[in-house]
Amino acid sequence: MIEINDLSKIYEGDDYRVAALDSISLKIEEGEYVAVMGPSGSGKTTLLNIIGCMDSPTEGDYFLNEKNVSEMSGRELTNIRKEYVSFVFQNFALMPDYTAYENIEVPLLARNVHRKERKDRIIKIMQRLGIENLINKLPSQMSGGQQQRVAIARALVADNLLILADEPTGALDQNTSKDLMDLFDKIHKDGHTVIIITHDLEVAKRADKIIEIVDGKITKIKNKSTQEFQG
Amino acid sequence: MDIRNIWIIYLRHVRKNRIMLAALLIVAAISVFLIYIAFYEWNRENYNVYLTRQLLGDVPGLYNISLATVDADEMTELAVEEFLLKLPEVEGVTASGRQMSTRGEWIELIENEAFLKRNMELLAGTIGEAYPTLINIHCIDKELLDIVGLSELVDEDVTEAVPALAGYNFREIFTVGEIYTDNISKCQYRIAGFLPKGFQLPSEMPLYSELYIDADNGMVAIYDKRLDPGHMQTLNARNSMYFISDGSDKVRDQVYLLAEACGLHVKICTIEEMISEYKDENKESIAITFLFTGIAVLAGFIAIISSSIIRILLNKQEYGIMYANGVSFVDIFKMIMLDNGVKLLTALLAAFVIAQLYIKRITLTDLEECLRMLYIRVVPEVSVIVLGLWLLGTAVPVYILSRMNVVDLLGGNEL
Repeated sequence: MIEINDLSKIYEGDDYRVAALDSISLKIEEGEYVAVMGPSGSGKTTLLNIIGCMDSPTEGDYFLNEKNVSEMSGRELTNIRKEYVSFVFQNFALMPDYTAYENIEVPLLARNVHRKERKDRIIKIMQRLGIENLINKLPSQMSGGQQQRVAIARALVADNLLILADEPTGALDQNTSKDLMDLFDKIHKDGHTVIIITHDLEVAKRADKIIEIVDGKITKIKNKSTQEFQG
Repeated sequence: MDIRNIWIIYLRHVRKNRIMLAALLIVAAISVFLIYIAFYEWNRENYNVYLTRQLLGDVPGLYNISLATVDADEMTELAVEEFLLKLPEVEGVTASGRQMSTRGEWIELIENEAFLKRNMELLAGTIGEAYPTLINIHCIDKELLDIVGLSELVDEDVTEAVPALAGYNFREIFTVGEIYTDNISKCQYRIAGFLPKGFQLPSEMPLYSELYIDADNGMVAIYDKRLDPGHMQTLNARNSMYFISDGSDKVRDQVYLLAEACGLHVKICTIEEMISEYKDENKESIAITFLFTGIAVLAGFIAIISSSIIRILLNKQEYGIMYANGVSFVDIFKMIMLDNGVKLLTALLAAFVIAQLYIKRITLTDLEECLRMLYIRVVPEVSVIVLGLWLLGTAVPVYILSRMNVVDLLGGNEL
């Protein structure tokens, strides 16, 4: 599903040049569960932003479902995001003045889904995640775990193939994190391709593949099935 | 995203920002109201000049003799009467009537055997001859009769063959049903009725905003129809049209002498001089009106732009969340356009309503009330300015937003 070849992201100024990503290459198959690990500033989030079509690489190629995304315009990237990608953020990224229902509704509004179908899909996903009691609640009225479930519901409601999560358990306690990761396991089992950024090895161990990034370069790729390390 | 969904998101934004939106609407409505009034006043002044010129501009030998006194006492009243009564005896000055009427009776309408004159026909440029106290009208437009409220007194249209007369100063006293013989045309007319008190024909309006200053004698008299009724009742102003047959300075000098003899100060000018003076007097006020309007436009523009920019800067993350969830830049652009459009359209409607009430309050004559076309005529001009505000007010924040990428907008959620 995802193929990246010699991809770099370079930030340049008058007197500086920083390579957030430096000639990385990787492949992620459809339906894989991938964890990306690395120290702060290693380029994990930059990689996720590029995979999620929120940013463009400076050099190299990025193919998403055989489409070369690296050369697309802003409008084309928006369409690709709409079609393939959903996000879950560390700080939940919920609209503070929208109810849970309204937050989950945003991707469906962007896709011009009909009102009745919107309602059906939202109720269904909320029931699936056990948050149907939060329909009219604002984020300020929810716990961290509940907010993250709403964010996951928003990511799932659009039924996109690729789910990208940036430290989804970063703001949660251990028990809540475990529950959330169980949820991600279910999402993966449903056929979604899941890519998670995490510092937590326990979280990473649930993935099929762990990619380690240091200073913008991939240092290790560990496949759960083969237990191989690739540098 | 289709317009319904954009509207849904917009309403959620309004729900969150009710107070700011209300404040902005007030600022925008005030700005648009000032724009509306400026254009209305400008159009009205141009209209007055046009009407006066149409009514009287082409009549050779026609002069305006005006005098005004403030808080006239009995002696002054008598002096005025004496002057006006004596005036027809000045060589070459022709005036009809010998009696003075009171201020309240000074518009009268005269009907000939079957027809009535109508003043709006003058707008079309069809005008008869102007007599000293009367205007002879040759043609009539029925629709315009309704506009000036003369329909009840009119049965049929006035034509070239059967003209009508209108008296527009108060030097005559008439009785309904009386047969009146015009001294100039020798035509006989039957008096059909009277218009309500305060009804003024268009030719009167510019005349009665005249400012008369006599530096030599230290007397300043001002007729300003915006004065309150109490004050106006003590103000005696007379404007009479006199036909000076040979138009020479000799007659003019005689009139001046006559006035001085009565202890009064008059001004005599041609119709064009009168119009020119009127325009000059109003240039300054119109310029000031438009200066305030310019400030209002600037204030409205700044309010609209700054509110949009503040909204973007304070809600960067929300825009980023929308982008991340499939909302496109074009959708955001439509939201900003919708936001500004709703504000300005509401302001335009509110300003229009407020302007109607304001114009009604400052309108002193029935004919001004009848100038409803002016209210509507001004709307396109104002709407163009409001449209410009809308486009500019949208372009700037949209440009700022276009310079930010999704990652910048999301801010604290990553990196």
